[in-house]
Amino acid sequence: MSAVPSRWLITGMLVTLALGILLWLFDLLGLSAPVINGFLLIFSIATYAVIGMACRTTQPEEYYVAGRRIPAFTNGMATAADWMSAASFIGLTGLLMSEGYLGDGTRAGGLAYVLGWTGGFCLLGLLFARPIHASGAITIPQMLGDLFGSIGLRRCAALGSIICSAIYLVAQIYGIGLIASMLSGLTFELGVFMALGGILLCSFLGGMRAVTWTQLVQCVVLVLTMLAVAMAVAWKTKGHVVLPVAAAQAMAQVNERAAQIDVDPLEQSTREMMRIRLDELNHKIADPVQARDQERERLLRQISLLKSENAPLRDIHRLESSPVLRDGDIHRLVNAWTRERSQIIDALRRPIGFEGRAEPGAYPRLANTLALVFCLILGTAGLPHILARSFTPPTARQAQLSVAWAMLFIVLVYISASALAVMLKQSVLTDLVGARLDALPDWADKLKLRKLGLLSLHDWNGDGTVQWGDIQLGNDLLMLAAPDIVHISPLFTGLIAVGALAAALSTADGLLLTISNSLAHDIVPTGEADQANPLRRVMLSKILLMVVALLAALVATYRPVDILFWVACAFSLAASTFFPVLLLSLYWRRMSRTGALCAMWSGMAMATYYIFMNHPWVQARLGLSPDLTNWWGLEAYSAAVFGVPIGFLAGWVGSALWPSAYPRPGANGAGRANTL
Amino acid sequence: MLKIRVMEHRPDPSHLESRRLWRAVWIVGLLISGTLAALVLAWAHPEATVWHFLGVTQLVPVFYLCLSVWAAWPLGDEAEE
Repeated sequence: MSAVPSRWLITGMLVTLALGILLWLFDLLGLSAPVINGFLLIFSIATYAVIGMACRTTQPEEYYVAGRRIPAFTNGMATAADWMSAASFIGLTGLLMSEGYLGDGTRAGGLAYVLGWTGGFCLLGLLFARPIHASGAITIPQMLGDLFGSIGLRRCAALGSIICSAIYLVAQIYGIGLIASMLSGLTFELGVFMALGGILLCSFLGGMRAVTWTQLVQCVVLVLTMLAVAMAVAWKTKGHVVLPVAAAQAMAQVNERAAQIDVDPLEQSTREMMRIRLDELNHKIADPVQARDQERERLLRQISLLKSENAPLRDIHRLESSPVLRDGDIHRLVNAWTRERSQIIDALRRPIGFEGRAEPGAYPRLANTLALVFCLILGTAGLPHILARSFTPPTARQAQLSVAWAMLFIVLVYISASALAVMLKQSVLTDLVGARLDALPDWADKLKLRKLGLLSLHDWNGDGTVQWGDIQLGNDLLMLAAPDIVHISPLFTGLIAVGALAAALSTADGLLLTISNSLAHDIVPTGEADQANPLRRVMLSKILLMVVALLAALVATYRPVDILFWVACAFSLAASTFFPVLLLSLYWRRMSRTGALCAMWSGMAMATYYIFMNHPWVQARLGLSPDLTNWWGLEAYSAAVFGVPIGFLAGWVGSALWPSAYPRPGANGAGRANTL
Repeated sequence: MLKIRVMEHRPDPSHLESRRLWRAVWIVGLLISGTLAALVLAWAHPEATVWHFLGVTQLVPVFYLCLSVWAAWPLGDEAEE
């Protein structure tokens, strides 16, 4: 068996090498970007599908836990690919660039994500990997159910697992749709369903076995892509490929440039104009009917003036198409003004370099960052699809070791992404800020034209030059613009998109499998026919997997807004639902079945309540004020700050009031809790 | 005689358990204190972005990696399960 991982690993590296040579040849032949991107999309999806078909199985042990024979190194690579979603692969660079390190006054900055997304693996490896593997279960809900001999607890855990994974899955499929449509030129909806075919071919046919080997190849693609792009940017901008040194050099230049921009009178006038517009919007939102009527009168006067002056028809049409004249619906107008107001507030708070702004409110900013780090760390250790990877290695030690290997690959990607953010920001600050609007750098013109909204400019003070406040960068996909910004081969854009696609597909595969296995294995009752023929259960898992995938794709086609928000909420939910119950169940001998149920339900309920009550849509509908629902100024996605302690408390109280009547079997079957 | 020698080399389970517990306490303690120290220092010196980059975005993840390796490292004569 030991030959199998090396075979797939070598295959992955050869595929990447072959892809690199092909891309180089395409570049030499001068093929157009859409042709190359379409090729990359089909090539990568076909590769994953071929692996899926080669690993097809109907054996339960193979389908659910890949035969429990995946060595630590391979399992580590699969875990890393499972973990690194599109949001973290391409989103982190953009987030660091736009929010800086310490955040913008209310939201947490990039440091919270870097630390939160990596720190959780220490806890996972230390606390959970060994006992989860030793339980011999197939899913986390089954492990908890077996531990206490409770089918109710198992179903409750399955429900929690499905909710956490479903939120995350929709976000991943949305990301896949964006990338697939960008690469292929198809519409977003078609991109979603095309990529869905790739996911299904892999996870439907081979379950965990196929997903593991696909994730192995995807991990190679992810790590090599990120390193290649970051090194190419370092080579182009600094003349060497030592990433920390190149980025530290760039950081010194960023600081110098940011200091110049900060005191530039043109930048200050831009900010002044933004503040004036902000006041206007505040007045309009306070009295929308009067604001609409005044705006309408002003526009009509302007239009009649233009008509009397025989102004160009284009200018008159522009005014006539204003929503105030065209529609006039108050609700829609208030929404549009509110959206514009939050964009301006974001732009005003955005740091020029990576520094924190010395403004009042430093306490809530630090509190929000600490809370987010807490949620991300405990959420990582509680995400069911990551925990499920501990079932696949042959021994408990290998399961623990695989977490350390996973950490290595994740750290490689994240430290490269952090370095890339600094080098890209230096280029933006030196090339774009201060440029004349009629003589922009060529990359800025290209990005403005792209339909992804990577860059938009608004000349606030009308001076004809670009100031920092005028720039609006599309954070989520900004990394795709890196090759244009630093003038490296456009083939890297395709490579980044392939890496992002690998990240989204690998995470979506793991999530889909977790949801369908929870449904088929833990929620649907086992009949006599299932016990007689375990293949029936595998078939049910496969059917449910397809149904869940189609449903998730359908939800993603509605383009849910604020993806990063929902991903962070999924972490908080996972932390609140699973972390207390797992820790107490595995390491506290007196934890009882009732205590476990109390811990899980109360943690999940608390986190759900906090997220729900602090969502702007709910607040608007129920007429709630954020002052009432927002505790200690913490954001909705930091719900685990309340959910986790409540879960621990409820677990303790439940076990104290309703202790176990008999010694519980325990994960190691010895009637006692595990050891570290 | 041979039997006595074998007994001498067998690890004491309670001793192993205690070593594992201490390792866990150290790792969790270092994880918490390292994270807090990194963030609090970053807030205390918001202008020191070169150090934020080198210290927090580069060194702290490597520090976490070291903690993960330590957590997975076999303790003394801990056997493969």
